[in-house]
Amino acid sequence: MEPNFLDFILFVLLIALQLFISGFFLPMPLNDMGTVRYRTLPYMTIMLILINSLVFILWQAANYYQGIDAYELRGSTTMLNAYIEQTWTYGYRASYLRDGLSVGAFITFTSMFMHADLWHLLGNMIFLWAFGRRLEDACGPWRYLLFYLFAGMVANMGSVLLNPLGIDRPGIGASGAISGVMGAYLLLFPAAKLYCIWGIMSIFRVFVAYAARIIGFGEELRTGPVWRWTIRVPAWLLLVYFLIRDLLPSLETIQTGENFSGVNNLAHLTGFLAALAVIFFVRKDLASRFVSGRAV
Amino acid sequence: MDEASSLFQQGITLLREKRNTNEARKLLLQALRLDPNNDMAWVWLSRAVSDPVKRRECLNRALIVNPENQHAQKLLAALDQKSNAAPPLPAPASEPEPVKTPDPVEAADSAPWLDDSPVDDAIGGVWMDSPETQAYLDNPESFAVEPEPAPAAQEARAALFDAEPEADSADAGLDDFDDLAQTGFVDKNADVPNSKLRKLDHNRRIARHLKLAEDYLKKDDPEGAITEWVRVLELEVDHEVAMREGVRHLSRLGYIDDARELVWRALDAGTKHPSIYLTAIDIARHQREMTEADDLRERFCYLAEVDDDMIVITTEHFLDEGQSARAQKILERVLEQRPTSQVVMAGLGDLHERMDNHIEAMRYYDRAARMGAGTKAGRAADKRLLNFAPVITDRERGSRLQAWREVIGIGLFFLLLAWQDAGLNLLTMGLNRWLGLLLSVAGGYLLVTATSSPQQKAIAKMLGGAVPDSADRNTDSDKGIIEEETALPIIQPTMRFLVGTLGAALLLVALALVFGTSINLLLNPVAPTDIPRIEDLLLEGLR
Repeated sequence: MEPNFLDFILFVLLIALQLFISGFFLPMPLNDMGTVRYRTLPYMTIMLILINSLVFILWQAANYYQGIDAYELRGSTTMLNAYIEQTWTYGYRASYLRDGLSVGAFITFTSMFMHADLWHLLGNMIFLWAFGRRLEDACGPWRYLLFYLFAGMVANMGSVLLNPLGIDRPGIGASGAISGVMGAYLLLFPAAKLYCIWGIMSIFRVFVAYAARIIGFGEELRTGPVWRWTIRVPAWLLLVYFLIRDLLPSLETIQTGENFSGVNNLAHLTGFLAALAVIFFVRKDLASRFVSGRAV
Repeated sequence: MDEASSLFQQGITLLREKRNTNEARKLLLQALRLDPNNDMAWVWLSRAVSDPVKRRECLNRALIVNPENQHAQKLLAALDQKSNAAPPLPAPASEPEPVKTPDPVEAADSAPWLDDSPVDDAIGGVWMDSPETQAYLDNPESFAVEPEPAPAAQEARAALFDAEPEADSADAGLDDFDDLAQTGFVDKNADVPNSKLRKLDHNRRIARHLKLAEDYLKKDDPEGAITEWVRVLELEVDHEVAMREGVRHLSRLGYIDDARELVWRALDAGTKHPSIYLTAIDIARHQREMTEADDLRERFCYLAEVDDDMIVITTEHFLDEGQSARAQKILERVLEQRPTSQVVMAGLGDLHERMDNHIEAMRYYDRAARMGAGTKAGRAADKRLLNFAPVITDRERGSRLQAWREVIGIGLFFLLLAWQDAGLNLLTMGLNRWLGLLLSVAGGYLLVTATSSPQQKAIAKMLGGAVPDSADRNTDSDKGIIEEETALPIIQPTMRFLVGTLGAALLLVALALVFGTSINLLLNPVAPTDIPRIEDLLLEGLR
C-alpha cells in the first residue's frame, strides 16, 4: 500500500511522541534562547543538517528499513547486508588507517555523515540545531565548518587512541563532532539558556505553578501558563550532565575495551575536549573579548 | 594615653624629680616629634636646657603654638629680665573684626532645605573635619579657653616656677636639639617661623574658632556660632565645615542672602570643593535661578575632585531638561580630562542611547568594556553591548597575532589529517607529511591574510595597501559586525586575490602531501575483507 498524507501525519506525531518520551526523564535541548550577536543566518548548520539527512535518507535508509522489513518477514537479507557493508566500509575503524584499507583516512569524514537509524540522525540533528547556530555565528560559517570537522576528527581519533584494547568495530555518526560543538558552546556562552523538552520537569512545574498561585510567589509562575512543553535550562547544567553521562562509560571502555551500550561514549568525551581549540576558530573580535574576560 | 603624651609625662616626671635631665630632654624631644603642637612640652624643654638662647627658642616655639601660654610668657619675661635684653613678647593675636550682624529677613521663605540638604547625603563624609582640625580638637592644650587642667598637670605647671633651671654639662652636646632644628621643627632663626609652623598656627586658629562655635551652639547661641564660622571663612574662604554649618544656620535664621554671599565668595576665590558647588547649586535652584544653577552644575562637573559617578548623575539632569547637547559637551570634555574613565564612557553611551544614537552608544560602551570587564562600570558596559552587534577596531584588524591564531587552527586541522593518514602513528609521518604541514601553515597564512586579516600592520603596507574610505565600512547595527573607522591600510582587492589564490594553491599542495595515502585509496579503494554479514552476526549473537 502506498503511504499517504495521513501516514505522514501519523509519522510526525509518532516522532513528536518519541521525542517527548526520550526527553521525559532527561532533558532534550531544542532551541537556544539567546540572540546571535552577528545576526548571521546559520547557513552552515542548515547545510550540515541537510547533508547528514540526505546521506542517511538517500543512501542508508532504504537499505536499513527495507532490509529490516524484509528480514522480519523472513525475506531477503540482501538490503540489510548492503547496509552493513556501507557501515563497515565507510565507518571509522583503526585498522583501515593502519592497514590502508577502504578509503583510508577519508573514513574520518564519511563516518561523520552516516547514522545508524532515524533516531540516531534525529537526535544528533536536534542537538546540532540547538547548539550549532550560535557557534556558527561566533565563528563565521567556514571557520565553523572547519571546527566541526576538526572536532569530529578529534572524537574519532580519541575513541581509537584511548581504546587500544577495543574491538575493531566501525563507528559512525555526527555525535563526536556535535559533542565538540556543545563543548565549544559551553566554553563561549556559559550563561546561556536553552529550551528543553523535559517531561518530568514539566509535570513538576504544574504543581509549582499552582503553589505559586496559592501562596503568591514567582510572577512568571503565577501569571504564565500552568503547562509548558519546554523548560528553560541553563546550558552549563545541560552540558555538565552530558559530560558526566559520557564519562563513566568512557572510563569503562578504556579499562575493559568493551562497549556494551553500542554508543561510542568515548568519542563523545574526546569530542568535548576538542572544544578547547575553539579559540583558534572564532572571529577576531570575539577572541579578543573572550581572552579579556568579556562577554562574547 | 598616646605615646606622645606618655613621653611628655615621663619627661616632666624626670625633671620634677630632678633625676636625669638628659633623659628628660630626650623624652621631651621625642614627644615633640610626635606632637609638635604641644606647647607645654616646649615650655618643659626650655627647663631641660641651660643655654639661654636655646631656652628662649623653646619658649618662643611654645608661644607660636599657643600665643596665650602664660607659662611661656612668664618664663620668657623672666629670661628677658635676667638677660636685661628682653625681646618683646609675641604680639597677641589681633581680635578679628566683628561680623556684621545680618539684617533679619522674612523667615517665611527661610529654606529649611538646608536642614536636610541632599548635599550632605550626596557627598557622604566629604564634610568631615580635616585631620589637622581633629588633632587640635583632641589636644586640650590648643585652645585659649581651656578646660580646668587635671591636678597632675596643675602640679606640673606649678613646678615650672619652683624649680631652678640646672646647668647641665651635657648641654654642650645637644645633638637631638640641633637635629630637631634641622628637621624644621625648630627654626634657629627664632623670629621667622617656618611654613610648617605657620600652617600649624593657621590650623590651630581655625580649630579654636570651630571649638568656640561648638560652644556657642551648646549655649543655644547660633548667631555667636555663625560669627565664629565666618571668622574661619575669613581665614580659609572655603573651609568646608564652617561653610556647611554657617550656611545651614544662616538659612535657618532666614539670612539666605548672607549664606549666598559666603558661598559665592568661595566660588569667586576659585574653590575646588565639590560640596560648596553643590550647596551653591541648591541655593540657586531654590532662588529659581535655574540658569545659574545649570552653569554651576557644569563647573562642578569639571572639578578634578568630583567622582565620575557624580558627574554622570549631574549630566542626567541636563538630559532630563532636554539639554542633551550640553550634557554631551560636558561628558566629552570630562572624558578628555579623564581618558581612562569607564564610568564617563558608559555615561556617554547611555546618553547616546537616550538620544537614539545606537552606533555611538555602542562605541562608547565598547570603549568602556575594552578598558576592562573587571570593574562594575566595565561589566555594566559589557552587558549593554550584548544588545548590539559587536564592534571591530583597528586593534583586532591590525593584529598579526590574531591572524596567526587562525593559522594555528588550520595547522591543527592538517596535523590531524596527516596523523590519520600516517595510520595514527606520528613517528611514521614521513618527510612528505611534515613538509605538507609546513606548507599548510604558509598557505593558511596567505589565505587568512587575503580573507579575514588584510589589514595586518606592516604586511598590508608592504603589499601596497591604502587606508580605505571610511564610507565603505559597515555602520549598520542590524548587519553583523560594526566597523570602527580605520587608520590602517588594507591590501587592495587585486593583491588580495593573488595572495589568496597562492594561499589556496599551497593548501591544496599541502593536502596532497599530508593526505597522499588516503587520496590514493579514494581513487583506488581497497575493500576490507572482514565485513560481516547479518547471518554471521546473528549466529554470533546466538552463541
